[in-house]
Amino acid sequence: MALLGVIAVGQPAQADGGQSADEGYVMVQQALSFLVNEPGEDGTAEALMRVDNALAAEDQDGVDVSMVNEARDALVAGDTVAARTLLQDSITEAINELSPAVGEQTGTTIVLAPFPSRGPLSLVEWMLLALSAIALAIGIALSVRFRPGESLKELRRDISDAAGENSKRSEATVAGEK
Amino acid sequence: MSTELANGKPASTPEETRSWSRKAWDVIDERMGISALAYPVPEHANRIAWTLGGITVLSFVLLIGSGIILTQFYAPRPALANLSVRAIEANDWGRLFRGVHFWASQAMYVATVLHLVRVFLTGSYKRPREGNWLVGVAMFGLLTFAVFTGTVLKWDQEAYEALGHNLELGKLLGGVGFWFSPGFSSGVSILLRLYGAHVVIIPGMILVLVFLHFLLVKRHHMSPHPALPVGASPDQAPDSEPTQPFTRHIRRLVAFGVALSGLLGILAILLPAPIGSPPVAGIEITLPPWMFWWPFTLENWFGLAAIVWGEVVFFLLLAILPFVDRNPNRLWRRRPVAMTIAAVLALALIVLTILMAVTPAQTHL
Repeated sequence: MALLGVIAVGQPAQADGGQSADEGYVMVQQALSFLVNEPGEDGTAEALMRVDNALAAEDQDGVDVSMVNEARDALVAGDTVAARTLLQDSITEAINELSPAVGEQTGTTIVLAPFPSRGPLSLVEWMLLALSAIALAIGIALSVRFRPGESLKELRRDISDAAGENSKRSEATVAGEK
Repeated sequence: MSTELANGKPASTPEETRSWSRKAWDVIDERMGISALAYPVPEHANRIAWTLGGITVLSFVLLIGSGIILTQFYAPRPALANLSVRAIEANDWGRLFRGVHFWASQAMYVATVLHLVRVFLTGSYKRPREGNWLVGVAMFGLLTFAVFTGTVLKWDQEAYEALGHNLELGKLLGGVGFWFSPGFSSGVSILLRLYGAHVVIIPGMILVLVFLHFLLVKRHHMSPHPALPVGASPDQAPDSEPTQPFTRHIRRLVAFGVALSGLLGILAILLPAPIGSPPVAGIEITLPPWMFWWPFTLENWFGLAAIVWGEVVFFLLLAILPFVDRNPNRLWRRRPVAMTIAAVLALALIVLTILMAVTPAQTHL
């Protein structure tokens, strides 16, 4: 009944309770995300736009605006490394004031770059790779060994032959009964 | 058979001459009834196309095994989730198990689709197997949901954008989408609820349906091969078709399982599962997993609601198939209408998928 009630009534609108996209510190995080996800001119341009949004935002709680301005200058100068550091540092206060994330809040504190894809294989990985290759070879060999003995064509012939014999046998039985 | 030797000493009885392993097997079998699995199945059921369902189950088993290990090291809290996945990736063994989990999910999805295509092409969904087709379609839906929840758990930008779409879709569905509303349980992160769905609710439901699927296969027997002559009943393989014990079928599946484990191990090591930057609200810069590319192309064209309508139409078509296709023929050449519609649908899905692959991420939310 409670479930039906919820379905029938729907859900009330929820406040974001912080971490919404119109907060200044989230705009700074957006700029950081573009910098780490889209290295290059396009990413820098997007980041610059988000920095401008953050500087113009009404809600700048916990944002060190002077550091954001410095980060903007660094971005304009093409120094994305310095800009990243400045942007991350500029929202330290806002991050420290965050409550544990609930609902759809991200809970993100530091915007890290994507985890690097693999480097050279370690010794353990070489061993695991060799074992996996052996397992693959054994599995293929066994599945070939255990394959069906007959092709579809042979199966069709067997079924037809067996059906022919059965009909002959039943004809003979009928004739015998007569 | 004599039980006495020439010198008068008693000979070994058959009981005594059995090897210890045989005796052990008999003891276990007497209590567990394992030999009941040796019931006859038609010879054609051992062909690879007819073992795709079994390969799907093997992938599921590997997913459960690797998933159990991953749950020991994954922290389903927004502030820690992405970091805990990074910690898993930073370890050789963690990277292996997460990679196997990631690639096993891809394998299960592909095997499921191929199994579904095989069942369609051979008309195995026709009477009396309509109910089992529906069970299969339900499992396919659950698998799609499992891929979605698994994507969200890594809690990176891709995950958050996928979640954002789902939350918006939940709103579009009104009261029906209540579970996807963050307000449904406002004191708890939705990440934690999706984690519960991913590790308990969805696999639990799949397990129940797998059991039902097997029971119905046993009840209705393996469907006949449309290229072989039929017997007295058109929905069963002919009595004259050679049979093999089901344990042979399992034996071949085990061989496939060994090969699959090896393949997934190689993929996991050479192509580790990705993990992106921690999520930030209010931006869209990633593409969803490839399984969702076709509905996202529809979203690019017609807006967010097109994802819902696309998925609803797709699963509705699958669900009603056995009830609208009343052609008794099972051979694909004798089912031109069904084949034409399926070809058009498949072509549309492929084209929409490719279009998404070549289109940059767009902002919708």
